[in-house]
Amino acid sequence: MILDKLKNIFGIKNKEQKIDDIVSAKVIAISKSLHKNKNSLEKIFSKSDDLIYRKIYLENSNTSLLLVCIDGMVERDLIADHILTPLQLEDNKGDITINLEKIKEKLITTLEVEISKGFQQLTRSLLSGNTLLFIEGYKQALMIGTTGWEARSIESPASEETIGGSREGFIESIKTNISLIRKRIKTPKLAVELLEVGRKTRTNIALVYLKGVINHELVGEVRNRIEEIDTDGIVGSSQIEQLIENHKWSIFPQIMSTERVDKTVGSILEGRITIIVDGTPFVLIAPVTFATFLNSPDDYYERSITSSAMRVVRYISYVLTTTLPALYLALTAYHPGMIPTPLVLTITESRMGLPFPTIVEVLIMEFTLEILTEASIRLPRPIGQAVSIVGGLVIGQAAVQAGIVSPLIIIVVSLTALTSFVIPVYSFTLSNRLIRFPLIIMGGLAGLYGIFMGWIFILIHLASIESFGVRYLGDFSPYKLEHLKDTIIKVPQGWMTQRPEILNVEDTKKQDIEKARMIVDE
Amino acid sequence: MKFLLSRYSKLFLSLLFIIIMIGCWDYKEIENRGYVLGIAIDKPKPLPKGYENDQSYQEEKKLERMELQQGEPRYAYTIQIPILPKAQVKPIGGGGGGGGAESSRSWDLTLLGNSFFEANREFSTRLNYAPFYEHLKVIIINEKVAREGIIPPLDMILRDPEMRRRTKVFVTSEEAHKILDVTPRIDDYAAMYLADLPRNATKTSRMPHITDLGEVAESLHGQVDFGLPIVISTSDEIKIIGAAAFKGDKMVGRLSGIQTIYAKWIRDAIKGGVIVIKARHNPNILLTLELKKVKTKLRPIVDGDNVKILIKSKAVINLAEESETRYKDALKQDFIKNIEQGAKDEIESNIKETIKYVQQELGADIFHFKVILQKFAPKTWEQVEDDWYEVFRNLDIVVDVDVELEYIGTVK
Amino acid sequence: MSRELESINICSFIIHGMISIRLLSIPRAIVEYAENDSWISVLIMGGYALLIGYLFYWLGLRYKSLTFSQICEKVYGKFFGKIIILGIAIYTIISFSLGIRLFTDGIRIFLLDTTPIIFIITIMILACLYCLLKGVRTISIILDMLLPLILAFILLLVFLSLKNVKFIHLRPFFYGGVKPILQGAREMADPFLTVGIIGYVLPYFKNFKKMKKWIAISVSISVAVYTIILLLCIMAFGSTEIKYLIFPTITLSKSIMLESNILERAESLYMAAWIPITFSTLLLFYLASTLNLKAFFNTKKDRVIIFSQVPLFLVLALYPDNISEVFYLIGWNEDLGQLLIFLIVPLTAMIEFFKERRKNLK
Repeated sequence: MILDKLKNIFGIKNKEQKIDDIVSAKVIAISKSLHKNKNSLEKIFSKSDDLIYRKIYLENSNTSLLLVCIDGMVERDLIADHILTPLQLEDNKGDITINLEKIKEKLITTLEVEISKGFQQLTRSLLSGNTLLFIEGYKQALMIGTTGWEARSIESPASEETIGGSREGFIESIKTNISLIRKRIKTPKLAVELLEVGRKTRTNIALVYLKGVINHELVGEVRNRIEEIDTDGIVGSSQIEQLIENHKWSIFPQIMSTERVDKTVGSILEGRITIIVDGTPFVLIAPVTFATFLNSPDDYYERSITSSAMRVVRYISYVLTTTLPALYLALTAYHPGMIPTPLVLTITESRMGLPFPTIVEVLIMEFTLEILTEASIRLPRPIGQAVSIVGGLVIGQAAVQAGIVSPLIIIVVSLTALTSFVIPVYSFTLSNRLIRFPLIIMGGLAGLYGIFMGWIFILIHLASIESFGVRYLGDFSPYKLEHLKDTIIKVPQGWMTQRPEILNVEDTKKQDIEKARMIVDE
Repeated sequence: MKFLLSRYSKLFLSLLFIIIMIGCWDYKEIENRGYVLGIAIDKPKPLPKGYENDQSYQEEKKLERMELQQGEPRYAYTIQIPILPKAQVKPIGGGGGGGGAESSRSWDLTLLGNSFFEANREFSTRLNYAPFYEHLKVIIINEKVAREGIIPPLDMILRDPEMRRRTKVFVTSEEAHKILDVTPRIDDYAAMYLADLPRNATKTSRMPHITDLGEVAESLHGQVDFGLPIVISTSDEIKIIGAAAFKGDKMVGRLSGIQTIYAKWIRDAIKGGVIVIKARHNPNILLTLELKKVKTKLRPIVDGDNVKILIKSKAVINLAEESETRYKDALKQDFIKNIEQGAKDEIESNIKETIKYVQQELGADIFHFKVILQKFAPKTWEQVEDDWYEVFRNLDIVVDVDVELEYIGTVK
Repeated sequence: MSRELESINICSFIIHGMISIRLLSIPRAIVEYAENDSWISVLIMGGYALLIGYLFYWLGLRYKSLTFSQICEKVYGKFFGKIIILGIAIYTIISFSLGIRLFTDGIRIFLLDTTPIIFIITIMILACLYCLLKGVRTISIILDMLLPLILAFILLLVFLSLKNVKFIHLRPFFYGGVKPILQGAREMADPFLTVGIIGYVLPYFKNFKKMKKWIAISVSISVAVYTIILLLCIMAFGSTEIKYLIFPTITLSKSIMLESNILERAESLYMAAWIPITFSTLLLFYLASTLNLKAFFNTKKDRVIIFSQVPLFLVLALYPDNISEVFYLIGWNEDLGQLLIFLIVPLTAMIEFFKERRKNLK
């Protein structure tokens, strides 16, 4: 355990090789006989009935070919138009020889054609949607790029709606996702590194960043951590997130995942690294800080004063959503002297004759709230709405009428629910919904003292965690005016001349004020 | 590492568990506190005539008597707590409140005792929710109690952290608990109603408005004399009628409403109010002047062994009302000068009279001349310190009021 | 020792060190001597604190990777050095324990009546412990996060109290002469000695750019806070009344009354605001104490020293029977602090100065 940690620190990789299912395919060599090759493939892909074996015989040149592909992963038109048709046409020209070289260089008209010698590479290629072409008498085979499977079209990101932002969200295909970024950053400095992860899934992962801007140690660190991943499979990007983050037991996300293209592009331009995982529309952004989770892309589309105001609202909401129930509990049960007298009398009146102590009441209602939010996510949209109406109105009102809870607690709980939806990033919202409960217990235990100490504990934790070498609260310490420009408030675009300093970027300058002005003047 | 981690977490979990098991020492449901809104301090009274045989009255009295550990009861403490109806199932947004049929929304409990703390704890034998004083609004002291000294009954209230420094203190010549018994027409609780009254000091200066417990404590600790408002009541009304002057912690006399205006004037405490003067050219015409701003400075004039106090004051007034409706001269400088001069004379003579009254009848330094000497002439103060009250009685006063008329109120 | 702090970080270290729980009770201690002129005492001591701060800084620059305790050992030799380190250790440990005890008593008076002291103390010590284990950079972030909050609270207190101010309470000026003022200034020595945290955190800084400016600014802010609070207390209550108050600053917030009914009792809120203030000061004492003990035992085992102090703190904090005993012990500890601030620190700087002169002459 300690050894492993040390190795992690110094970046030494474990010696043992990653186990690979395809490794076993290596032992078989490609044979000159098409029949034998077919048998080998059938052995490797036993019980896979979606493999298509197409035998082609070219009469004039007396050549036998075997075309292999996986149904549904290839674009059938592509194979017909660019492989089968040219071969037949060439053959029809008369008595000529057709060899491997010629097929590769001339006949096949798709973009990617490669020669492979081993079954290991062939298998991998086949599984990625390429088409294999064996030729009688050659101990080699061609891998032809015909990848094409059904993909969702680009839609507006469902989980992160904005008002002013672009309507394009990432989809499940890594190629489309990269192209969405490339479309917006047209510079050769945009680096796209491809990696593969997962013993069984062999998921493609792309690291996208700006060369010359990003801190190259960060790239190395991320690459190392991803390469060290040794797992059966990756299903979603959050698995990558959990496998490479620093503090596994923290409830705060240390990597941002987003569906939005504009947010990703903005982060890349700031000097952050983006991890795109094939098969998920969620792109990972690192490193991130506490403040980035409270920024919404909309902030950059609105006037700076209004968006600063919205930021402040968000920070206040953050405090409310985490602390309000605890505060209510502490004030009523410990310090009723702090509440104005008329309000104290009202609360007292509303709590007369209720069976449960306030702390139980708060916990019950908060728990109900969590159930409701969870239930409305699971259910299809129309039913989800019904559930929230049932939960919010009916249960709330019924609980008050039945004399189980006081009406004030309903206000408090619904306010915490509302404020929690103000936070733009869902994973961050989740962690903050969790903080609420220890704070309620602390507040119930020692009143305001408990809440303050609870927050001090949370702050210490927040201050101690880091995301890829960047402190989570690094935006607030040490004091720099530069930090303030895009954290709690947002200054006008022209003033944001520097990239965030905590990212340790190589090129700190984002824009010149003078130049920005000149453009305006023109 | 793993071993350590698990041990830590176990330790932490067990600690948390223990804390939760024992915890919540101070936890108390909001409805389980008896919010005391007002305290009234009286002298214990014998049964009123004609009630000696009244059975229910006798029983009530029995409850109010408590077994004392030392001596005979010297005070009758009354606390007022709100009556909050048990919540009935009521529809959301259905108005709330619902006072029901009871006429009074508050409950006044009386106990006879020596120390307030003892009485306070004794209340817990009658009240299922222990009294809670953080919302205490007023303390009303009976004049007889006040004349004997207010430190003994108030000491605990002055020191307890549960008490607020902003609690208002009043004096009444009636039985203090009767004031609490009043049900004001537009408020539920007499205590809260009364506590808001001094806020009207911007409208009238006939009542002292600095009546906080904290100020009383400061005066008592600083050994300066002070004044507190006097209230009277009917069954559904409360009125502040002037000020009670305190020398040390003992009440020595009263100031009428008008005297209060000028006492406040000297103390630089005027926030607003009204004075009425006679017009100089025709005594039949009354002029009502509104005080907009009054600034008073007190300075000692030391001349060898002789000390005088200079009261230098600047007042900005508006002409609010005139019993003669012809405003023909209103815009002339002479007219304005006349009013200013008239007001100046009136105010100066009233101030002198008030001081004379206080010096001779009360002998309490409620104007804080003592403080002025301490601050501005400390050497002289050391000479007169020992027989200050004698000096005070014969202290010469120089009054200089400068009146400025701002608005004449001609709208027609 | 990793150098990861920027020079501006020194601000929050100094301000948090100097604005401590003592701000609640110190007006009474000074007013006992200096009456109305107490604020002059604070200013005088503030000037001296700035000087001491610079001395610490100067010493720290001469031995860039050593804490003040280690410097003492270098300057005075092994034996005398250890004695001084022991003195500092006693001072820091007792300051921590009594500070937490004073705070707990305040909490018990204003927030939690019957909660056992040990519970309040344990939670506070646990928080300090947790933060200390996470390293100096974490401490610095925490301090930076809490500083605006604390200053905002104090500012709010100042603004709300302005209504209660009576200038007449400030007079007469200089009536008692200079001696009471100096005596009052001596009372301030103890809270201002915490400027010495500079001597312990300097090894963690990676750059010293404009450090002098930051030290001056932060010492001035702290002195200004003390002066303003003291002035407000005197002007609101008068010097005679302050002598009757255990925590004059809390009483100041008690007498706040807003026209509108937003907050019924401001003092509970202020007591709550004092929680982070106390936490940060205690944390710094803990840090200094740990670094000091490390120098004493010549060890690098952080954790052992951090953990082994906990029972000591607990026992010492629980030792006094009542608040007057706490104040008695604080008075005793203050004498030790005064010895440090008036004798040891200048002496160390002087010896170092002459050593250097001799070296230069040679």
